[in-house]
Amino acid sequence: MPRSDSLGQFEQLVLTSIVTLGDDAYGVTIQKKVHELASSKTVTLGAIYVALDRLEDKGFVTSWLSEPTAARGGRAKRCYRLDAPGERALKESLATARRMAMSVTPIWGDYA
Amino acid sequence: MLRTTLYVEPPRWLEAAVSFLLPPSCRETVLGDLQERFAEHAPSTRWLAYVADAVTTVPQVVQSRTRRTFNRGSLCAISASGDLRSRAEQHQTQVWVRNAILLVSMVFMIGIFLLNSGGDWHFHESVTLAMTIGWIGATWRSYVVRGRSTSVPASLSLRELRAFHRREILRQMKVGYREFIYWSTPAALLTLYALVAEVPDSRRWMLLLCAIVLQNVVIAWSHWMERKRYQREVERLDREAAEA
Repeated sequence: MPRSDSLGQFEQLVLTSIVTLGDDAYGVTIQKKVHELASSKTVTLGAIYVALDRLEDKGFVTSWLSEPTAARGGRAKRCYRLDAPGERALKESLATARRMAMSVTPIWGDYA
Repeated sequence: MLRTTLYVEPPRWLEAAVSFLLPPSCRETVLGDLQERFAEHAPSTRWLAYVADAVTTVPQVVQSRTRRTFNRGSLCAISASGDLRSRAEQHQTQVWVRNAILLVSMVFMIGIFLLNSGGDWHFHESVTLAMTIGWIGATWRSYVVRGRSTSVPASLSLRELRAFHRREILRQMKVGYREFIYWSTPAALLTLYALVAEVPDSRRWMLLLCAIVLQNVVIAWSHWMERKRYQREVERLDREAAEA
């Protein structure tokens, strides 16, 4: 049961990364994707784990353990996927961001 | 474990140090992620990068997992609802939290004793030494007799998982009265020594005696409470196994 539907900017980045990575969304790949999306910002692995724990507590993502691989010293990965409340929250955030962009574009022009 | 030399691995001692600091519920996945990142760096900077990754990751993971452990219920709520895997993981996290608290408090007690120990021997030094011995005993019981927390293996069938969880709980119930007496005796002897030789004032006698008794009562009570809680979980596991 989600405790809050609002998403912070970092949580939006993490959820977007999970969506784009599909079945390959786990700590390292999510961190790389978030780093790519956040462009100049430094993103630590620890911050990703904290955000993932929080999103899991809110009921936005579900995790499962993959099969162990030799490249990881025989250890499993914890993979993540979006749940329906997470998808809904991310769509709402994207819609809000789009509306904000539309309202400032006439004033600032191409601000990106 | 599928360890092989074909893949780049961080030094075992470094991994062991990081593993010691990580809660069991995320130990396997975090160590795996750190190893992947270790292999991505240039050979000359791997070590530094691994240490930097560990330093930035471990405190945040510990904080997050500790918050989750306490949010999901108190440390005494192991018998709460939940599937078998999450119960097993919760149990291991509780063991990890308990051991960490004991280790930190033992270091704290040793620090207080060392700060107090300069110059002549005084009343308060007897108290802190007795307390330190008590905490060393409690920490020893936690780490050596009961053992460290372990990660719950990923690929276990329900039956194997039940057996694993049961074995782990029984391991935590291993502390008997003998281990308790071994570590309470030096503190008691020290108390007697302080009473006879060092403390002429009867009011101080009582204070010292109360401090030692209180410490041992707290330790014995926590053992008793834990044992009751573990016993309930073992009964629940047996019941579930019979129903299955």
